[in-house]
Amino acid sequence: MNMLVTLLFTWPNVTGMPIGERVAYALRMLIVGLGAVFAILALLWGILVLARILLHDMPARRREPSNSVGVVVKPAAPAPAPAPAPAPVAPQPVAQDNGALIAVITAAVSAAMAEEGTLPPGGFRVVSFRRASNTGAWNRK
Amino acid sequence: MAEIMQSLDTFLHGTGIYQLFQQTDWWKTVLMFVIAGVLVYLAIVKGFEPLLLLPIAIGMLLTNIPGAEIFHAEWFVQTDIDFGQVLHDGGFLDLLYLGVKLGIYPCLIFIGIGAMTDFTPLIANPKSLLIGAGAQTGVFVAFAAALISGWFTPQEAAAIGIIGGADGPTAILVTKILASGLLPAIAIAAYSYMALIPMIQPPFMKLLTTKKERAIKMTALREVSKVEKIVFPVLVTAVVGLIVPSALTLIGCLMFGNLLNVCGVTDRLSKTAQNELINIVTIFLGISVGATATADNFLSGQTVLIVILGLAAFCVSTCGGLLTAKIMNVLTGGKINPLIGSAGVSAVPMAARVAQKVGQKEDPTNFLLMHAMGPNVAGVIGSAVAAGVFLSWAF
Repeated sequence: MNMLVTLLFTWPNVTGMPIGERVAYALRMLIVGLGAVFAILALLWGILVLARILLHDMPARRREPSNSVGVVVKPAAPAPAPAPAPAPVAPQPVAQDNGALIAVITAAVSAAMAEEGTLPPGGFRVVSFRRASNTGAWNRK
Repeated sequence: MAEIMQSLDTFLHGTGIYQLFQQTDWWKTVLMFVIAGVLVYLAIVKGFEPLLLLPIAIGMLLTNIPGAEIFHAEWFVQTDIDFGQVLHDGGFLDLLYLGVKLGIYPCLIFIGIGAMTDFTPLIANPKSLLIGAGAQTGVFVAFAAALISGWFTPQEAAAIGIIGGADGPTAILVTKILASGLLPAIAIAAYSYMALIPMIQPPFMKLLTTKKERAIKMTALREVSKVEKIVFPVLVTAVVGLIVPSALTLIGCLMFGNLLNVCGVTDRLSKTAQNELINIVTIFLGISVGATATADNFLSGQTVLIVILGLAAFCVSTCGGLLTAKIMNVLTGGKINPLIGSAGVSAVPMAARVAQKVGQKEDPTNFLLMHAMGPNVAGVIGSAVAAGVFLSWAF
């Protein structure tokens, strides 16, 4: 082991070496050096993934049930008479008044669906909404 | 009358012009003035890394004026520097150069860079670290090429190779420790190539990627919490420091600067590190590195070789990053735009901007900047680790 370390990690007098030995030495150093950089950064990658699980994913999962915006709306089973207008109708908030928030989200969904061409001809009704996870909705595709 | 003539004679013998033409190789000094002029032109007119090239050019000009005695390169060549002599008899640039010789400036600059750098894209997508590692290929390929050439010692080859890391302070620190005689050539080559990134990288980016690959749209990055941002610099410092202690000077300073920025309670320190500190140190670093470019030291065949090997290192690093990203694209089922690989050479944020620009040429609605910032800052860590590997071999 000591011999290997000495062989790899000491600076020999390369200028006095025959070309063959010099090439072999240079290639050995290239592989060891680049390998070391890859190994260290790969280890760092692994540690960051672990940190993400511990600091991001797990807290997000714990928070999720209590993280809804407080609007728990049951789908209107006996649906009230469908509004003739295609404008989306926000359900009644239960916990607090989120009318403005619902209007903004509904408008955004409507705009996105219209752009994709998936907007139903008769419009749609929002029956409930909740935060999917702690990550921002705009970060999802 | 005779006394007047003698005074005049003494004055004339003391002029820089007289002393210049007393030198046997006076043309070398004149050539250095021309090179300094070219650097001033590139910095001011072309806008190539002006913050550093301009101080370097002025340092080069000052040090080559005969008789000024503001820098004594020969004092710093010997291993046992007589610091008493430097302090008592040294000129202005001798004193400033102590910051380079003692390795202080690069570390202070790294604190500033850390404070300015947003590591969020890397924390959100830590896979980028592999691209940062792939983009260090040029460092080790140029190192091997310099060794094979037989013109350089391993220490000098390591200092040349680190140009491929596209990180000025890292290149200066490694060169200062391993091959201080090559410092001016390596510093100038490193900063020049960093300035030329928009010209050097795009041809390789187009050569190594298909039109379809360049048009890949990547999914948006996840949100990163404040806790993650705070833990990141501490983790990186601990992990890298424990494995490669010789990289700790650079990584520790970089991460310290970043911690000042993200912790939220040291805003004043963070702003100082991002502005006053880094600006002042950049002036000191640039002018004192330029001062080492004396005619005897700079005008040699070695400098030409360093410039060529440095360019090769830069190109291979770009290709290494691109190919790593291409492999990752295949492994992830086409989710990674290989263009972001070119940003794996550090040069923050210019390399990431180039990736964004080339990507938008293919599809104007494609925004790669934030995705490219991940490999870009990973490259900063990667080049510091590569420097640490070289330094660990040296001791």
